[in-house]
Amino acid sequence: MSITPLQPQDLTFHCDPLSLGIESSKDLEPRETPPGQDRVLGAIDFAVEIPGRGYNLFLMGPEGSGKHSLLMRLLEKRAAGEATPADWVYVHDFERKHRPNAMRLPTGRGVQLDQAMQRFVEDVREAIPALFENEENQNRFRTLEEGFRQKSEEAFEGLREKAEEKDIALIRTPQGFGFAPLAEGEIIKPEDFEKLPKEEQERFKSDIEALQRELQEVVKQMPRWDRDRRQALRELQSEITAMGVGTSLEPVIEQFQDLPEVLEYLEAVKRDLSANYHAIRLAEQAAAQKQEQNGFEASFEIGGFERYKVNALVTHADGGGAPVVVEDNPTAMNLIGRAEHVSRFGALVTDFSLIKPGALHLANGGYLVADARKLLTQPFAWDALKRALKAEEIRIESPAQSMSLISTASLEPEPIPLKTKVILLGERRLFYLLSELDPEFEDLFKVVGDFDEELDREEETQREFLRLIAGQIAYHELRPFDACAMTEVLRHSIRLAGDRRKLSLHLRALGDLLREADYLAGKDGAEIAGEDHVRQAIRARIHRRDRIREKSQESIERKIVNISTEGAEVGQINGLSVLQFGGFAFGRPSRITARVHVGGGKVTDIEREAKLGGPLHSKGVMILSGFLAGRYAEEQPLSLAATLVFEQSYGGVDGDSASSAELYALLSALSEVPLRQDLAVTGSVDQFGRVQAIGGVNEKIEGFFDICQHRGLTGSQGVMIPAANVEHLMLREEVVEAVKAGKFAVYPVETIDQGIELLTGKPAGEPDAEGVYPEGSINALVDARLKAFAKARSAFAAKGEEAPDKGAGA
Amino acid sequence: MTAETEMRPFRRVLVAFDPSPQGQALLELAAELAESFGTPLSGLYIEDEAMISYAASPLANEVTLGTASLRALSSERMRAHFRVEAGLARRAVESLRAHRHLECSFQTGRGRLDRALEGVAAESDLLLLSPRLGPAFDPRRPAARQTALARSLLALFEPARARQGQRKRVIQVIAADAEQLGASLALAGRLAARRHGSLSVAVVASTAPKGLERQVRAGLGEGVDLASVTAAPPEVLLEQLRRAPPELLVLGPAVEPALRKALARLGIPLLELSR
Repeated sequence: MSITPLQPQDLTFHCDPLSLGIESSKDLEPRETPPGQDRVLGAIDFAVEIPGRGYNLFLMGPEGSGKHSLLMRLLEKRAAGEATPADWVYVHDFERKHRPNAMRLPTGRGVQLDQAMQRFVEDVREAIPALFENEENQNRFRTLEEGFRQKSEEAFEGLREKAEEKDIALIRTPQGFGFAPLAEGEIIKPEDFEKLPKEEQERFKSDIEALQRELQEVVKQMPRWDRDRRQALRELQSEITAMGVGTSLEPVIEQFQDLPEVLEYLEAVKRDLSANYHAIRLAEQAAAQKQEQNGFEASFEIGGFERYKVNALVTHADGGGAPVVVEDNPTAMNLIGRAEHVSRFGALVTDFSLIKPGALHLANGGYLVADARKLLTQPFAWDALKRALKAEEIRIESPAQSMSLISTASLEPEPIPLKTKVILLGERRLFYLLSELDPEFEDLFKVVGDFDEELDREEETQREFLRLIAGQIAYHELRPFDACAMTEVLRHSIRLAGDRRKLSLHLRALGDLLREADYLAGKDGAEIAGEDHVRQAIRARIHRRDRIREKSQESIERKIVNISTEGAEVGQINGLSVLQFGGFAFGRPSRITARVHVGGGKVTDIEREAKLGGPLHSKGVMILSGFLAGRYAEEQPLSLAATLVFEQSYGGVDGDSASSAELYALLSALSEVPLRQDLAVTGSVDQFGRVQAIGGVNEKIEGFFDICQHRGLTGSQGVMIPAANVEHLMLREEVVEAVKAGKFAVYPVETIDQGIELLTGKPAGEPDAEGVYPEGSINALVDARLKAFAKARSAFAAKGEEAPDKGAGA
Repeated sequence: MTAETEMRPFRRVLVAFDPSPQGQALLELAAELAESFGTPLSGLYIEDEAMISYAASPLANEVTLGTASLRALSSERMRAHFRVEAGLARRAVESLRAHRHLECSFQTGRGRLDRALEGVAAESDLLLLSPRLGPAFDPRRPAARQTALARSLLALFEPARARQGQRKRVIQVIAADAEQLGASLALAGRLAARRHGSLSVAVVASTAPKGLERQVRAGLGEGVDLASVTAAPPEVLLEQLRRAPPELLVLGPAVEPALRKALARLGIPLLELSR
């Protein structure tokens, strides 16, 4: 049952640069999109083509896999050939001022209307006052005013003359008019009046009373005359204004003759302006005066002529194709738009001209691309997007409004119909979370595109991958890479995939490598990047990040952390773990120890007891109990108490990749046979003792290799890995060289029995027909020990005592 | 002999006014004239004793303008009203002094209007009056008693009551004939020069008298922009003024009452001189 170490060719991927059939990347036709993405390409095509509500796309895949650039290339190509959507403008609603109207205009006409109305407002500001000031109209006003003035003057004059005929004067009094008797043109003094004959006095009295009554009638008429005067003035003003408005509006009406909705709006403008011209003009003058008085810029006054301008919310150039909008900051308001406010004399006010479009407005009739994580982390943004997609309209309201937090009068712009495809990009985890937690999600994002970050490595796909690399070199405008450099990039991609049968499509990582290698080539003055530049770039990248690894290695080398790389120990083994910091992973050996004694069949995971072990690690340890009970305690109770620990581990431990090592330590403790310390072990184990694949195999091997290399390679050192991981091996060149030189070995292990034989140098032992293991074998020793534990436990039980938790140690 | 040389230099401009909008306009014009001639300005408000005395009469009622109701007058009410108006008039003159740096004084006259005026007119050569002061001071009907007043130049000012439109920066002088141009020409010329505007002169006649323009030019000082000198019958004159209203009408004496009435109805500020 001896295990043959792996051959050097099994430890890495070898590719002869000559086999690529190129001299440099220039010989390859560049490829823009990653190969092997038929599934995701199909999903994108399907999502953009299928009509209907909710057929939006969630494109999922890991960060940096190039899904965004792939999507944008496809969308931009597609959108360029599609129809340009209509323009949208907001205009003032003269009836309901807080509810601006949205108007849909044919492509390009939004800008035209905007410009036309700007010209109209400028014209109205100047042309109508000029109309009022022209001589003819001035005369009409004067005649009208004079007519009314004459009317009241004549009434007073008539009274005055009538009074004078009776020697009575019409006089001004503090609050009006009165009558006084005259004698020789002078008002008669009261004492002189008394001296007049009684008849004369009575005549004056009666005449004055009659005149007073007449005067009262005249005065009563005055408000009506004044009202008539004002009405006549208003009518004249309206007539002149209507004429001015009509003249100014004529070119606009002519320009938009084909658009009934615009004509209807222009008619409303005409009505409103004719009715309110003077009020608006006064409002503008008052604003200008305030500006002058207060010495700061007058804020915009919607009370003025500005109300006749239009807010060209979304405009397009004809033939520009469908819009593709990428919203990098998908806040609620950046998505659905906002009504901004301006400060006016200390108060915040808004109007239709301050409505700003959101990404949904800009993408209407086209495509909106946003990052799902950013969207979900922005307060109210996800809800706002869902509301718009569900209602198929964009309704601008602030989060405070939608949550009814404020009830002050604000704008309620008319909603705009929404017809856009929304594409969210995000990690798979987000997709699964949304599917599970948001019942509306599946309704609104019916299409999913799953971006595969790996590619099966075959002759054809490898060629396509190299074309993709050539495409990236061209895209980033880098110097060409020679065949050897391309081979190194290929190797790096396999290492990233962690599988010799796969190629990583992590375009960000590959792009970074290409750029860094190109930089190094530039520093060397090379015109073509070579193999060394790629290797240097990889080494430099690792070096920049491996401070923690160096510290970890140092602590082992200085024996602060005890790791033996020679000799043999009972109940102690070198396990391997992987530490990951910010995208950089490295392997580190850990000393795992096991102690056994009589007990109730429990294997104690000290990591778990100390709350340092994760659930997967605990599961691995529990499997060990299953293995021991199944193999050795079919006919007797498993009377073992064991403790397992990662020595000198002060952080959390998770994963089951150390479970085979823990089992070896346990078997060693039970059999009391020492384990080789020049070997390190990784692999999980099932209840039948089969060793199973684990992750990070390359980093783990290299982690132990680095320790051994530093201490001096003895030739006996090596690592036991699950046989299932062999095809994942993509080891560093120096490890491969050491194996080639016979200084280091990698053993593929399929079962625990294979592993224990290699670790102890003793046979594991197959049971005979009676189930008895050969004498001296590991299994026999373990079996005997467990039987002894059972006996001891039984003896304790007979004495009425429970088996001690501590006592008979390994 | 020109109108300019005919005029004695003014010692003082006297303005008798009340604090109504019309009175304020009169005060403004008086200040402008005082500035043009470089003379001090005196404001005068007259508490008419005749009115106070009459207000005690059982016949004395007033019809209020706002409500057309009939209210009895009383001497107390009339006095109180005059006091308030006098206070407002005083403040208007003080404000003028503060803002225009003009030598100003103010006094309140009590008694009969004509006597009160007589009392202060002796030291003033130009008296600006509001038509509200009553017919006794109509420059067209100088009273026999107005001995001191008879030596002064009386000017009755009627501000525009109609809508203020855009007016030409022109002062229009209208005289019954060339002989009546007199002081109105010199006074209007000064105002036009001060306002940097121009002056138009018209006499009411179907044909222009010979040498009219020369006579007018001789009557004006330096720096006056003479826009036109014409002669026109009343209806033509009125039509011209309706079409192109000037900013001020200066009316010489002896203009026909019918024409004067029609001119007053044009809604243009009107300054009517006694000679």
